[in-house]
Amino acid sequence: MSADALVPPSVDPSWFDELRERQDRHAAIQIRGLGVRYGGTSAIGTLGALVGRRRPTREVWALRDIDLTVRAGDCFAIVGRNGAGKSTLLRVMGQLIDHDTGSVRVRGRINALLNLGVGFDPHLTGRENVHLLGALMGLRPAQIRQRVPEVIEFADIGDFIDAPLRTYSTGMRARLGFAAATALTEPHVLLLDEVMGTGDAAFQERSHERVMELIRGAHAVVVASHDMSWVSANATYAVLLDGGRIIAEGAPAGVTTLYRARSVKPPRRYACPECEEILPSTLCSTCGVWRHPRAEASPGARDS
Amino acid sequence: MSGRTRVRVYRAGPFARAGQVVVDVLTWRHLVVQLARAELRRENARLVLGDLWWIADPLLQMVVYTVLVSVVFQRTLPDYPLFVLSALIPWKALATSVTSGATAITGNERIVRQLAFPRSVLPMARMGAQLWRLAVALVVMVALMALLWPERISLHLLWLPVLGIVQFVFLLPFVLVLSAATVVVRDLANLMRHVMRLALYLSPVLYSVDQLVERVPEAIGAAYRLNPVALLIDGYRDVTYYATAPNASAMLLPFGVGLALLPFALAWFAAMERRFGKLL
Repeated sequence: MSADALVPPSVDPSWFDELRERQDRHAAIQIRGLGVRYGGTSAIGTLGALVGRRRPTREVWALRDIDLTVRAGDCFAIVGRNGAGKSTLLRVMGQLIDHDTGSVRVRGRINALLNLGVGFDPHLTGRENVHLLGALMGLRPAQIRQRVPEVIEFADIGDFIDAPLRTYSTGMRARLGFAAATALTEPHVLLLDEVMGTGDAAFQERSHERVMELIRGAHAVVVASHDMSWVSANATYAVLLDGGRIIAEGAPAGVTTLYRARSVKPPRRYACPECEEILPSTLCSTCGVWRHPRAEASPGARDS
Repeated sequence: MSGRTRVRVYRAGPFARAGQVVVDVLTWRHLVVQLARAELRRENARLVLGDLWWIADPLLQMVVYTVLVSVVFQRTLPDYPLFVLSALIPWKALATSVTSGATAITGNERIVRQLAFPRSVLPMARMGAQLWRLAVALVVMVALMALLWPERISLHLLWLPVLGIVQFVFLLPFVLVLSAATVVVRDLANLMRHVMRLALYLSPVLYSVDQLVERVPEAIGAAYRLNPVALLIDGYRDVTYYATAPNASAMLLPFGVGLALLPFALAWFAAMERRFGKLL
């Protein structure tokens, strides 16, 4: 059945194009032809190389020709190997770094939960730190005061809230960081670097629940993740990044399958010293000769 | 609903972007206050005397320089401690604003890399913290005057807050530019410490402008009298040590210089702000 047959005769097919266009126009994040470059030559860099010990840096494109649209209701997953550009893309969306080419449009309040416990000062008390973080996230004093009890309750640190942070245990600090970061934010567009959980088993469960709550509450979510089962279960759309470019996008199930397939290492192959045949094991099946363990790998023997 | 979305000015020229920085600081004024308070708390958090150091610092410095000048150099002016203190307090606020303002962005690298607040609040907060310390130190100085030199107290002391604001406006463009430039060339932070040390001896803190002008060629002396820092320091000394009204130029010239440079500094900061994410 063709697509035309689905359209009632009274509806002009171009209506769908218009709808699509309108959806795009109201997209949470719209990125077109994005490129982000690191390094390269600058006047200061050249001067530094001449007089000091600073090396001129090579120009590297962390992202190139990225086109994507995150619509309201999307749980948008970014997958890819380490260094593929996932975090850079999240940072561009969160307006933490500037792009060099293309355009980025974000509608609504956007908040990135990239690194919990950020902005925490060891000499200030837990409460002061929560206030500071709230202010850094753009909350008004009254709003922060209103949320502090919630943070204390969730972090489960009791009276320690009024002690300097340097007296905290690592676990307490992590719990406070998580509680503050998640309680003080209520973004339209939520950016997550890994769907994280922190602390001991019990807290991990609670914190995971909290993140899922945030995800459900946001209008749109962008997640960079290595957790393929999470992505295929929860995401509505996925892109696969490699070398700073989108190499696949679409339904999460397909994209994660492709990602998994690409990350499987090809099996090692060895050359038989007698018949020169390329085999998956060190025992040649035709002439029954074991390849010497320290034998030089023959050219073309390893398929990489 | 929580939070604030940044009001953004698109496709704007350099001076509209400068306006953006002003809008940012005004919308995020609460953050400026929080950061400045955190700054002040952090400084003295682990010291026995704690916040008493705001008072102890200028007093001890006064003792040091009084001993240095009256014992080592054998030169005495009447009430020399007050003569030094009246210039040393504003000088210290000025120098610390510059040196700590230079590291306002680089020193907060971690939060700048992770959170998307307007960066201009960082140098503003550092300056705000120094303004507060200046205010406390001036109150201490006035209290000290009431105890030791009551004859020098006059209504002209009411000029002190005005001078403080003039100093703030004068420093603002320099600190903004410096904080952004330090992100590119971090060596500037080190350099500024030495520059300020040199500037202390070149400024009329330990001596008066007249003492210096007598000893140098006329052209240099005339130029020195136009130096906004010297004028500002002299203004403080006029209202305390000499108990007279400050010279009008002591306030108008630094204020005018600061106000004239401010749009350029803001435009430069706005242009640099976009690059911080990658440079840090």
